[in-house]
Amino acid sequence: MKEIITLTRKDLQLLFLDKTSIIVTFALPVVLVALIGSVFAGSFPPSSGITSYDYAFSKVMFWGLFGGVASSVASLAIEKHSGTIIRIQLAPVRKFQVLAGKALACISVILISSFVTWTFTSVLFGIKTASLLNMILICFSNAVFFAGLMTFLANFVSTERAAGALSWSVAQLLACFSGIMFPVMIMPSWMKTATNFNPVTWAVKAMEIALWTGGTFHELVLPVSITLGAGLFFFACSVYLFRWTTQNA
Amino acid sequence: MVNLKNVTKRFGAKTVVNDLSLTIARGELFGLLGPNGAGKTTTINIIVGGLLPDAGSITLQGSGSPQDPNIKRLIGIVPQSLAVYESLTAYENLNFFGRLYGLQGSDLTSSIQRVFELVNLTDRTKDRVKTYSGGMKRRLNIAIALLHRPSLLILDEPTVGVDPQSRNAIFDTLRNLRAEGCTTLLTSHYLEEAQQLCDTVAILDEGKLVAQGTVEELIARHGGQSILTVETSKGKSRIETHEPVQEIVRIHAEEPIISLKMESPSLEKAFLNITGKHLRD
Repeated sequence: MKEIITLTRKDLQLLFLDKTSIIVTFALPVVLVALIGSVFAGSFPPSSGITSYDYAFSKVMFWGLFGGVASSVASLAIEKHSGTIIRIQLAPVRKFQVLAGKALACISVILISSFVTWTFTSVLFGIKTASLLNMILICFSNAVFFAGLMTFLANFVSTERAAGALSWSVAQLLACFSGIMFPVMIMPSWMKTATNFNPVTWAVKAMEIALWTGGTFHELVLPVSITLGAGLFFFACSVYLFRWTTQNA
Repeated sequence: MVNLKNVTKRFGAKTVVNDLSLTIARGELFGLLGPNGAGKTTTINIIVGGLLPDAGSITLQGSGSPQDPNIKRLIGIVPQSLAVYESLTAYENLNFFGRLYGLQGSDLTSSIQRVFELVNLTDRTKDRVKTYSGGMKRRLNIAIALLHRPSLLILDEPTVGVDPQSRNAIFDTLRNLRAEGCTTLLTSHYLEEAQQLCDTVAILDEGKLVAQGTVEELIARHGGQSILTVETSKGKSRIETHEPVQEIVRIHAEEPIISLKMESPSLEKAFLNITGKHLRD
């Protein structure tokens, strides 16, 4: 565990030295909630029970998470390019621990991003939070999913440019098929069906439940299981791929 | 200390290391030389456990596998690339890598201090690495490998792109380590470097071991003859000989020598005689 913490600390240290990553991951979601919330201020009648800011927050916070994924994928690409990953692999550390260190750093970034976005938007726009405890649980399961996705994507890139291109392409695709980019209810039926196979759809649903109604155990168990399971599945695939590529390529 | 037996590694259809057998004795400074694409870096990656061979075996410390974490702790690696975090300070870099090797507390602090002194970087420990010169980065690259007091140090082209002063400082560090009994494996394109530093040299070409021996043995076997360029009142002449001193005495006895230039056999000549002069890419 000590090795994983050491790797995580180093990654966080590097991330907080990168101003662009900080802006994309922590500041951009707050700005977007303000922008989208104010543009659609008149579109949510009081009977809906939520404001445009509540709606914007439940979607926009995910862009911060995508930012966290993109910067973490880039950090592994930089390590591959500079050769520091070779040094880490040759240290008495298991491949699993190397990726777990990266994943834990990504989870930390995502939780911090969620916390920062929620705190600022709550103070500024009074974001509705029906169940804080459930929201924290959803943030954690989302973080596991996005960290797993990050480690998986990181296997396919070896440059920072490729990392950016791949992460944001995947982010757009996932956002498109999950209701983050436009509401599921206006999608054609085939697309609505497709959204069910996207873990981000379940992450968004779970977040909406926790924020707007609080949610019961029965309501949350499925979305949380899907996001957690998908994250762990991606992580397991990543460990296998990482072992294979480092031993054979 | 290191024993490779019939090691072969292929990437697709290309055989990068071909039936290679090598033994590196404890405390030896061993040079692994070869033209570009000879398989040096792949061989190193196999020795340190970064790659698995397709055939053959590798043992370290008698019977240990390079995949074993306890064996990994004995190895220090200086990769060809500058494997350092440029945004962090030199101290933060050492602190991170030291912790990965299990160092902590006062052990870690004293080890960091020791390697900073060893590579002459004590006055810039708190500076970010991106502000360092190329030579300083190379020295830091070496310092990281020495942090956990490895008994096998592997350096892949450690002096690429450094000025003569830094190169000299790196040489001094390697000599000091040899004096302390550290086994060192060095790859280099600079053959005069290998000639100055190494006890034993192996030359690889297209993945195969084509020559091995002490520097003196390889020069004697493959370095060719000394070349004398002698100017006397009769004119200039170029003479190739195995006995340059006797030849000079003989010429001088016949005719006083006005000027004399002697090219001794070198490891570079031996290398070119063994591997040929055609370009490798």
